[in-house]
Amino acid sequence: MSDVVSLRKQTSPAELADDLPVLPDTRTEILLRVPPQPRSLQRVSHVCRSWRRLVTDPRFLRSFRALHNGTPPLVGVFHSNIYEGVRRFTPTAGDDPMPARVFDCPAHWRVLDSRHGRVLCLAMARDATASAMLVVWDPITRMCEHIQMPPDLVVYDYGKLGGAVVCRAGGGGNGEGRHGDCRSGPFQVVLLIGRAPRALVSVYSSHTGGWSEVISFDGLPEWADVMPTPGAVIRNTLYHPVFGCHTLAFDLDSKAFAMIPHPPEAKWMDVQVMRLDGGRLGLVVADIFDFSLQLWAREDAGDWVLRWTVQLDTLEPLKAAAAAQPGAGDLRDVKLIGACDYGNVIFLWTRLGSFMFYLDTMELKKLPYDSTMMLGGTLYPYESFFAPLQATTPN
Amino acid sequence: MASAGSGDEKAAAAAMITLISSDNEKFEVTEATATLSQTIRHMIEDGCTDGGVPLPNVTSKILARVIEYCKKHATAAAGEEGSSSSFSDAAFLEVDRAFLEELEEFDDAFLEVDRATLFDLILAANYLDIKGLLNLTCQKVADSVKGKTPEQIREMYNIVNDLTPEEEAEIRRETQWAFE
Repeated sequence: MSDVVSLRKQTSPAELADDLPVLPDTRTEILLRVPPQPRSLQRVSHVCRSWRRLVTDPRFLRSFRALHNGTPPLVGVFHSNIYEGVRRFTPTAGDDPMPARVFDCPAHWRVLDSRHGRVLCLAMARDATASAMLVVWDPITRMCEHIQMPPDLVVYDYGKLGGAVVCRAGGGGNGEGRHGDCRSGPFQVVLLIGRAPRALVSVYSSHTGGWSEVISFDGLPEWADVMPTPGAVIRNTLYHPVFGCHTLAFDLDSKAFAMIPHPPEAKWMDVQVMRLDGGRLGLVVADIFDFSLQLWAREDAGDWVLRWTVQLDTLEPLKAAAAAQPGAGDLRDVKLIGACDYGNVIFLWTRLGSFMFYLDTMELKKLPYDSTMMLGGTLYPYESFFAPLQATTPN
Repeated sequence: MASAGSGDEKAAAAAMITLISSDNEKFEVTEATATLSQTIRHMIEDGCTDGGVPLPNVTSKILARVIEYCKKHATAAAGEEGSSSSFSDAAFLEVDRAFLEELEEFDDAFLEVDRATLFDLILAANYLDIKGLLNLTCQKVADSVKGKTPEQIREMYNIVNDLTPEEEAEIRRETQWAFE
């Protein structure tokens, strides 16, 4: 019987100093449970050599992600618009926020997308002799990769350009949970532009270091121009917003297009596409007359199912504001201004400020930024586990 | 399962197991309590618990605490099985909720120990393979590093910094922001 017991490692407590339990597996158990705040893993990795070795081990990081449901914490949001003297990034992580200057970028950069730990920016030309460039930026390592614009898209109006930076480290189907600290992996940049009925798409691959031929699609329905706002990536498909009653689906592998019609109830309304649990396509619909939100989920067969409807003036702090100003119809206005990649938070603009809306708990939390930023514009959330870099020095 | 095998379960619950600490103290516990430990569960399944289960890694002081935890949580596990049966009225759910709150209070109070005891509990939970206890105790330690700088963590846990100045410089260069 003692054979069974001795299968597990034996260390008498008396041998231990007043240090963390030194058994390798208990140390792993402890460090796996470190709160997933932006700086936690980085700090832990700096304590000593054995801790550093542990938390930079890909197996540890895999378990760490799994323990947090593969959902990296929301660190903050980039703003599409900047005004003189106003920040470009607002940290949102509650009690241990990142210093905002980590996310400082030049004023002539326009953020197109923020996904899987990378930020895609369009660096506008600052004088007539220069040309616009794309920048794929990792704020954590401050690494920037400059990419020339695809030659066939340079003539178009940059203000109408939509883009996505997509991690391809998962190798397609089952890489969903990997993202959030896959910064050394391969990525693709997708640029989209289009006026109904034609959309043009160009795809950059970090693997080949070049752009694909421009791929054109002539199936945009009437009015369905490509919008310059970010979409959602689910497995190998990019769902990009177009105006009106559809979402454009682009398969990153087969390069095939499809139009996804919205539920009839959502026609011509303000919508936000997002990835829901289990990799379903979700659609949040804002009803400005009813001051409510609806969440629709797209089933495998392609049907939309309404998951819930919520009246915004029943949620604090909007409820209190509505009660304080009865009949103030002007307050009942809402715009959808972004969504987390991991489907747990969307961003709302209202006349009382901009909010994070937590889909699982239906809570509203005010975004702590300057009121001059409230003139609309899109928010680009930055989500990451901030896994430390693999130790480059020999252990 | 609760209804089909209830006869067997009653018999199993009544069966007592003897656990023997490293300092040779004997503890009589029900099988339901003991089998929160996967290590002991496997021994029971292999039929090698007659004459008691020696636990040479666990002192009587720690074993007593571990048993206290297992007793409380074994009752909780039994309660959960009950709630999944035909009971679903509000009154029952209310009782259930109150019990879960009580369990939470128990866990909080259970963690009010000095650091050496906490570490011994972690080692015992790991060795006995008691998932709930391992989670509870490790989380307590993990929470303690929240918001702390590497220096503060080292100081707290008497850890020697064996990173060379070059390695430290490299780390700081990469991610200065993490340490501000």
